[in-house]
Amino acid sequence: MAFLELQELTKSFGKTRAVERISLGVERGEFLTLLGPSGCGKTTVLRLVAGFEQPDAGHILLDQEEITTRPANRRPMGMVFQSYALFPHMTAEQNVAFGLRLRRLPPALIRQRCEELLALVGLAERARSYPHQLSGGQQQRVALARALAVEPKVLLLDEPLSALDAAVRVTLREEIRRIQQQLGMTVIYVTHDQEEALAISGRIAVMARGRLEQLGTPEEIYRRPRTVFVAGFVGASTRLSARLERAVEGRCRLDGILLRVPPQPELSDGSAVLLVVRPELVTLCQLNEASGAAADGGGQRQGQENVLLGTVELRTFLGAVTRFRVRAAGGQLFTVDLPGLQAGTLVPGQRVRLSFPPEACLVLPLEETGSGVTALPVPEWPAGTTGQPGPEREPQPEHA
Amino acid sequence: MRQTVSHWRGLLATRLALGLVLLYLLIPLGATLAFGLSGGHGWRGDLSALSAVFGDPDFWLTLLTSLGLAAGTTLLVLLLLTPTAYQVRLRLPQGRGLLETLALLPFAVPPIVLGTGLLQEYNGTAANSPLVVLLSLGLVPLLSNVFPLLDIPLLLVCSYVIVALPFAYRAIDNSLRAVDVKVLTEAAASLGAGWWQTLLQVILPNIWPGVLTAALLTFSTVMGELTLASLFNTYTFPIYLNMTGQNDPHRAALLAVLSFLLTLFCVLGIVPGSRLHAGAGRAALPGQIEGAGLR
Repeated sequence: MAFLELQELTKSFGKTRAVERISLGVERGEFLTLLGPSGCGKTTVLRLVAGFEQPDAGHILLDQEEITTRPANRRPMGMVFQSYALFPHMTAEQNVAFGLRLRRLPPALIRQRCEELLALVGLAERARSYPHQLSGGQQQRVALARALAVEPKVLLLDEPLSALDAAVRVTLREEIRRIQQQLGMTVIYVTHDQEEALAISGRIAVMARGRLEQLGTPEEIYRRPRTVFVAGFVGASTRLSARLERAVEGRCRLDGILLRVPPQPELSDGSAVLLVVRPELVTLCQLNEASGAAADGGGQRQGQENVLLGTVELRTFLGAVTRFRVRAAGGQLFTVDLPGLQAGTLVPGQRVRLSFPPEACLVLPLEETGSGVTALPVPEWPAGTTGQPGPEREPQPEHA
Repeated sequence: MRQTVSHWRGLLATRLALGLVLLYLLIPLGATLAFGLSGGHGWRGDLSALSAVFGDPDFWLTLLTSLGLAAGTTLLVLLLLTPTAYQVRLRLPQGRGLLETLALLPFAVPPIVLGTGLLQEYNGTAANSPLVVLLSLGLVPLLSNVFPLLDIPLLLVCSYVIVALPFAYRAIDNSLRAVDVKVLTEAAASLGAGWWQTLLQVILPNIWPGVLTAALLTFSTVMGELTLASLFNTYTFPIYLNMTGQNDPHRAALLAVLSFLLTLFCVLGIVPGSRLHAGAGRAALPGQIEGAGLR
């Protein structure tokens, strides 16, 4: 059993089901992020864990002890809020000391602990400042020190960086990670920022409509999304509706174009699928009109590569990469990222050749229904995909 | 140069306006004081009229009675309203409308109606009627028969609480509105604070100005209330002032000035206290606020 266990948690507000049968476990010392769009229920899960809300059903176990109905002030949790929630009438030091004073610790020990914690968050010299005399980043550091002061078993952070500007966000998230690793703290972190989640987390739980869509490491979430939602929400991608022609051979048809994808022995021929292609796995090549490149609309292969012809519609400079929107001859829109120099002189209106290996295609089966299509959790990103650093891991079991 | 002239003109106009307002307020007060001290023959430079007021035992009796009633009412109002307004804002936000309406009701019920109604209710006869027993869940008969409220000033204090309710509730609720009660409460709870600890150590210091305003308004309302005290047969300062005014208008004028000064001292004592308690530095100068950039 995990250190913190959430079992079948369900919570409704009126007729709105905010959280639906969420089950997940957090190991001791782990950094777990709840990621999802606004209204997906991630903050509600955090508030259930903190004890600010009571679940309609389900259990919360901490260190094998049931705490589902225990009041918030008796749970060994520390909380950092999006709005900092510092007590305005207290200095930074008094804020940090608040929880310690409630525990009736000796004043000398309280003073020493405050000094240590304020030093840990880099605010030793601002101990006597009131919250309104501190910047947003500093206030959030004080809030972090205050939450850490009571030595919680689990630290809960509810979008702590959302109210800060971009530069402070990046620095502070690295500091939060450093402090978490330094103290070996168990952390549950809520955010809607997928970049932040990928950068900071040990594991990520992606949520949508009150349900857990996928639980896994940042690499797994990015490379092996198990649902259409996760594929679309985490990272940029090109998503194409296609139909498998020969599943075991990995041949599928996209609007009349034949594409190579990894073999899909679990799926049957004729299955409707969604192809997900990450933008950094597609290469672009300026089409030389004089070379007489095939003008059959694409689908041709050079070796095992999928090759399509298209036209650049938009070029966006993003710093490290340049992002292109390319419309293929069949009308499909592709998102392509090229590193600085490779972007070269490609400009909107230019004819290009898009190519990507079969391994770049993640195949998500679509369940055809009367009202549309629904993704099923099945596929695994094929091993040996080019340009994918880091170890491959087994996908986590689905908790839906 | 032109800017300097414009600046001085603006300053002059502001001071002129301020001076006119002060004159408007002070001239009647000075005239009342002069009238009070004159004793009907013009003021001869002595303070005998003032000594006569202070030498009257009824002055001290009624003043102390009124001060006691005002202090009791203020205490009861704060003890009842502060936790209630906090709890409603925190746990029952949909109940705020009802509470606001209830708080405004005393405006619609004149004190004479309120006083007569309460006296009828608690005088023993009406207290035992089945309807009153039922509606008050047996509380009214208990309070009128076993603990005769009419014999002690508690019923009068309770009446004053109702009269002061609109002012006091508004002041406290406005202060609560300016504070993120829910988040501060949750932050305190996450650090281990219970409900009372949160109210006393976190919420109260942040709504202190509103609480003191409520205290001040309640205090001054009771100090000037005449109708209820008269109906309850309690010899208070306003009644003494009224009776004196009928026989000796000069002394009444002096008493009016003294009453004003008493209220003024209360205000001067409470307002700086509220600023001190509301947290040092909340109103810091812009230059003291450091916010830009990453630290």
